[in-house]
Amino acid sequence: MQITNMSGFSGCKVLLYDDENLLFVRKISGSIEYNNRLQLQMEKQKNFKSAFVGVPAIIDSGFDNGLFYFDMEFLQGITLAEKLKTMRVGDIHKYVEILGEFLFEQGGNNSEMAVESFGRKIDQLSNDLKNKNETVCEALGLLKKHDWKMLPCGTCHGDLTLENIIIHDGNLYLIDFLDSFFDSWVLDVATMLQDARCLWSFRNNDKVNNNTLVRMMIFNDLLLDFIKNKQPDKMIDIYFALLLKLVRILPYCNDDKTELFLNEKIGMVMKMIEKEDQL
Amino acid sequence: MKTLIVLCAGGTIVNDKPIYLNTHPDGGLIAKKAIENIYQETYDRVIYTILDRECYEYDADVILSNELRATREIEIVRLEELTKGPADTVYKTIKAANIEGSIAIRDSLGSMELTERLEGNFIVGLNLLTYNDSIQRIKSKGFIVANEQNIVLDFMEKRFCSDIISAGLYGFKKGDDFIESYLRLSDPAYNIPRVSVGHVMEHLIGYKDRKFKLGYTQVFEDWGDQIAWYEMQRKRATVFIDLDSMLANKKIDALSEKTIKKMRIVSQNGMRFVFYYAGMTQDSIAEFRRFLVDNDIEYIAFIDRKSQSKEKYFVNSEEDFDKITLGL
Ligand SMILES: Nc1ncnc2c1ncn2[C@@H]1O[C@H](COP(=O)(O)OP(=O)(O)OP(=O)(O)O)[C@@H](O)[C@H]1O
Ligand SMILES: [Mg+2]
Repeated sequence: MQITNMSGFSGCKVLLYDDENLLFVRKISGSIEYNNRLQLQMEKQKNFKSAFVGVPAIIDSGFDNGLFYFDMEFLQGITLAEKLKTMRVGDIHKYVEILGEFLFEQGGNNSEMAVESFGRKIDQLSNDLKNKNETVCEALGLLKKHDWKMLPCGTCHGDLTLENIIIHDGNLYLIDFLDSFFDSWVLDVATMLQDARCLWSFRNNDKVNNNTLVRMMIFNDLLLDFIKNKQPDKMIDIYFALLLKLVRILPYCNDDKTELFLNEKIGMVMKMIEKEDQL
Repeated sequence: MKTLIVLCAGGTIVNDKPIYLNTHPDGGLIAKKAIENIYQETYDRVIYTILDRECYEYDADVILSNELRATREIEIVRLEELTKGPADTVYKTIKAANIEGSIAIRDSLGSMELTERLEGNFIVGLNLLTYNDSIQRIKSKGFIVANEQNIVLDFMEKRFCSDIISAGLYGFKKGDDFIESYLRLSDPAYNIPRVSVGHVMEHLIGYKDRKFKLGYTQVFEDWGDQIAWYEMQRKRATVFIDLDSMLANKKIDALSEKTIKKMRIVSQNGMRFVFYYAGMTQDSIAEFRRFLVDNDIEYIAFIDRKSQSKEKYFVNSEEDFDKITLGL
């Protein structure tokens, strides 16, 4: 019996089922074209291993009317995005430490592959965003110039937004994996900063609660401090990855308000890079 | 070095002057009442932060100095313009007065009574579960979560996350801690419109893992805005009660239980009753006095007005007097 619909934004359906007292979540592809990516998502979730965070166990998978689906354990809890709003401010560091350890656990070595993958990605973006505006051109120039070869190539989540982290029984669980053009924990950090630093999820809120803003700031600063303490040389790559993330949204953006928002944040991240460069 | 900063700058205007320059119903200047019963004598410096404009328009500096002279030596910091919020006012005060060491901040005008002397990092709270009086604009308060050792675990502005509200006094062991957190919270990327003193504490707990001790007050009055101000005036109003009319048939037991209970509560909270009568015997009056005592209802006077006229007037000025005596 289907109980509720929990769908997000990717076009997939996420449904909660109650089958003879077994609660499970079924994620169904939004289209036949998306089948493949959802299958990759399931594989990533299935093969995931970590000493610090968990994933819902995969129960079953198959096709329904040509659409791929998979069933997984239902983890009753709350997303980190939601929890941060009301979490005890003194508890934020505990979650940051778990996430930090998880990120480093993803490991990876520097590889020339990064230079090639990012080069291609950035060239394509330059093409798509030709003559966009001064800020974007400047950002593209910076991205092109950056040497990506220090980026660790290992494993990553692929879409580590705060909405895709569930707190269940005090532990962190990851959902909604995504295949990525390059696998590096640095990109996962950048995804988290998109919210924690750029407040992307709040872009349509006229007024964000001040407590939420304070908590986002603390989460952001603690996470960056954690990384800076152990791998200070990665900071610059994290900021560049964040810059790339923001620029990559632009081609899909079709309203002025979002474009303005992105421009402002792109400018901000460039300033962060400049400051980091001076150190 | 310990400094107490009292934030007055830019308060609401009542009776044509900032609230802090008004007089409390029981006689003291509001600005002076704000530092009573909080161990002000344990601070090396007490600094009132006000606006330049308030000095020109209301002689704020002169009034503060005069009124507080007998209590203690104070300093006054005059800010040229309104700040971005309470934390900004504190920041500017620290800079202007070269404050070093630890600071305590009285961030709202009101009265409290500390149950113990507090030092270092602390906040003063009021426990709503044990406090019996009403509280104005509860939604605008800061809420404190603490553990059983009274260490603050969380603080949120305007969010009902506990039974303890901030009473408006905060301590910071290091002024530098305050400055650092305040500057971080001012990052335009996060656009926090009015950084409060509570936000700074929240940030220090979350980011720096600082421990703040929760201290308590059992007494709480808030005069921070017009509503709260008038509510306080109303609470301490002088009420003239016409006994002949209120006691139907001049019988005490004509009063309802509800009225008796209410009279007890409001009289204990500061309302002043003056009973007047014309047609009652001395015996009935004596009986009524006993009744008040038995019911813990406080009063200030009984007046035999020696006239059965139904007309009664309040006179606050000569004009008033002219009006009621017109043609007589
Ligand atoms: N196994 C699960 N247990 C509990 N809740 C879940 C589970 N899977 C998904 N959810 C809930 O459903 C929401 C949407 O799931 P998911 O993120 O997988 O979908 P999505 O449509 O891909 O979202 P997005 O478009 O944001 O990527 C999650 O944010 C979470 O609240
Ligand atoms: Mg999701």
